[in-house]
Amino acid sequence: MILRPRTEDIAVIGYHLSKIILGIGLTMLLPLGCAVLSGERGPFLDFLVTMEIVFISGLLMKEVCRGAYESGKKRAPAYEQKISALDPNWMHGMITVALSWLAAMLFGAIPLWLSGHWISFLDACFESMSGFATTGLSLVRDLDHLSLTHNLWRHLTMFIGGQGIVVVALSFFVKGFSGAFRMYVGEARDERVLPNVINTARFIWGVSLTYLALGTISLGITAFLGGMGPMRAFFHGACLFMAAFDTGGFALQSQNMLYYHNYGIEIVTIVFMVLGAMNFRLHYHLWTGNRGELFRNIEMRVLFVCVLLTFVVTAIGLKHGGSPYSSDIAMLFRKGFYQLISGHTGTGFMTVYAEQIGKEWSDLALVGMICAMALGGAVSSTTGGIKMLRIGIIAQAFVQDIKKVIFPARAMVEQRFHHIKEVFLEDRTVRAALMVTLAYIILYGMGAIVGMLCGFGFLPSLFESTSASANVGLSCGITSSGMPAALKVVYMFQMWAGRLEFISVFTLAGFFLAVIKGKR
Amino acid sequence: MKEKSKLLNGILGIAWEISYAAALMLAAAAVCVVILLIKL
Amino acid sequence: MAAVFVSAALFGCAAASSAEQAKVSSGMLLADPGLYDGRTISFEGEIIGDIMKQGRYAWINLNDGRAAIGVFTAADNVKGLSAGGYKRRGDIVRVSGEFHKACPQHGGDLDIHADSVTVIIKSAVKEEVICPVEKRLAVLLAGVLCLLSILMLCKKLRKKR
Repeated sequence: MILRPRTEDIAVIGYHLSKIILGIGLTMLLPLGCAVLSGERGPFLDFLVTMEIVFISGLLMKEVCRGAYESGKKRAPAYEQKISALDPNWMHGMITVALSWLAAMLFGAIPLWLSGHWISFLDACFESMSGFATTGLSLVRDLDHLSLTHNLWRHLTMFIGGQGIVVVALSFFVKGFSGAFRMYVGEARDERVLPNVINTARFIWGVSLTYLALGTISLGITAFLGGMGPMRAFFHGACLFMAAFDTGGFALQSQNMLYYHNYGIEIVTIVFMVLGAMNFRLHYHLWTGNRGELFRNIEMRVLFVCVLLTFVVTAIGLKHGGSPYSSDIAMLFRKGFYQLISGHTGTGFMTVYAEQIGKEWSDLALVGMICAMALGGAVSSTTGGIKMLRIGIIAQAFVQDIKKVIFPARAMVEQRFHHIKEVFLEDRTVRAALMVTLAYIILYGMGAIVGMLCGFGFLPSLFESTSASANVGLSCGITSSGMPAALKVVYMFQMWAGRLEFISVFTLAGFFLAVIKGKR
Repeated sequence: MKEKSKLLNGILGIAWEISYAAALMLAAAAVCVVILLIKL
Repeated sequence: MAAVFVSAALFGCAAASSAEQAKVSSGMLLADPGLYDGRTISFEGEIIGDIMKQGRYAWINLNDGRAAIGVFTAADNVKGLSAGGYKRRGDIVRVSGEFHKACPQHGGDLDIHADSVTVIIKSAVKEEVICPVEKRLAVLLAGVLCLLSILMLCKKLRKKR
């Protein structure tokens, strides 16, 4: 029997949602400050208006939800009145997360839309979702004349979304409450780094901010040596770092990474992309002295193998297709490997034009890239896609099944893998990994079918769909402000569902079903 | 003293992580060489 | 005699290349890069972002409205030019030089190695356009926000009592 959600349920969800919305509003202080410093009056106004809208709606929602909750509670039976106020249960947590990402998309899109660089509010929403979900597909027009403030906001959405909107709220704005973990899990972070969620969230931000400092300095210096002015070099450095470490893939100029024509920047961004593809739990163990973990960890091993295997496929594809890149080591590395590692870590930085991938790369090279994008980085990192731990678990399950066939019937076949500690492979774990993998494959396929319905070829459709669902951001030329609105909406859904790893999206769907079909 | 070793661990951890990325790039460069040398 | 012959030959080459020099747009270059690979072309666009000097050479990126293409040229050619951004429209220049769809010298970049850079339209400051409706909206919303926070504060105080 499905129970119809009560008003209190909606009130609890709305209450926590409003807190997260207020948190999102506070993050807009950064671009507002940037507008003041750079003297950009138009963008200042855009962000001021947006912040006012965010705060008004956040405050109103908070009051209404609290009122609804309290009036509902008065009518509730006495035993229920003792339950601590406004603590979300699992369903509340999941739905709050799913909705807060949608709210972030809507509010984040307002300043972009006001800038006039996006032809419709839908395009601005696409950009905002692409940023928060760290995808990097972009519909902006005339990016080269976009203000620094708006560019900072585009990159900041990736920095916020990469770590997790709820993680941001937990670490900076919201006081701890017992339902925090339920929201944290909803954001595709099923592993706690530290026993306490708030400390986990703070650690995640500790890592990110440490690397932000390192990244801004190293990329800034590299850009400066490449001939850029010091102020612009460090501004670009900070933004590029956010895009690389959070495996986002936006860039400040329309040519993406090709703009810099700089070997150094490409090498440094590769380093940060790989760091961004690492599990935050692994960061914790490496930073606290357990350095051997880097070599023993199943995810790091699988990542190494997968990157090399998919690169071999892509490189052979380029060579077969007669690509000029396969005539020289530097070219194969800077064009082939850069695109591949950018796809595998889910970043989406490009050193070629999207049209070139669509037209010049052979089918085999595209397939290699699609595989790399579909696989993704480590769990609890900022990447998207199926992720390395699941691939590792599935591979181990295959090995176990083969062993079961080979070994004598009465032998106990047990399979272990090393992920922070030695873990025995259980059917439960394999099932969970396979379910998520299957869901991703369905999502990739679904987008590809819609792409083909809109008249694009099979491989380009699959490429772009995988890129959206795995939060990569590489494009082979389909994504543009002129593409059909239906395809934009599908890609937006894919980015959202792919980033949240389905559970909270499924819960939201279930909630709506319960509202319609449930019994009181 | 304890603070110092904590900082050292952190720095070494970062160095380790960066070396992993470097190893990945070296391996990829090796793949490049092999792909260029073999005839398909 | 030999010198005269060589210079005549060079002059001949230059004349021939300027004759076959095609004026192209970024759309044409990206639609079929192979067609123009290795040929001398002329390309017009606005300098955007930065002028990146690296020793005796410099990189600029020219945007012709559809896409931006990287141009590699001698640093002397870009002296005194300025690049465009939010507050400025950069110099609109015409470059001519050899186009590469995958430049072997620069790791496979799609670029133009320009011999000459000529300014067509000088750069200019862009006036910021501020929508008056947006300005009024900002003031209005600020008023609403103030009212709301005062109301909430009052409610909180009454509760405490």
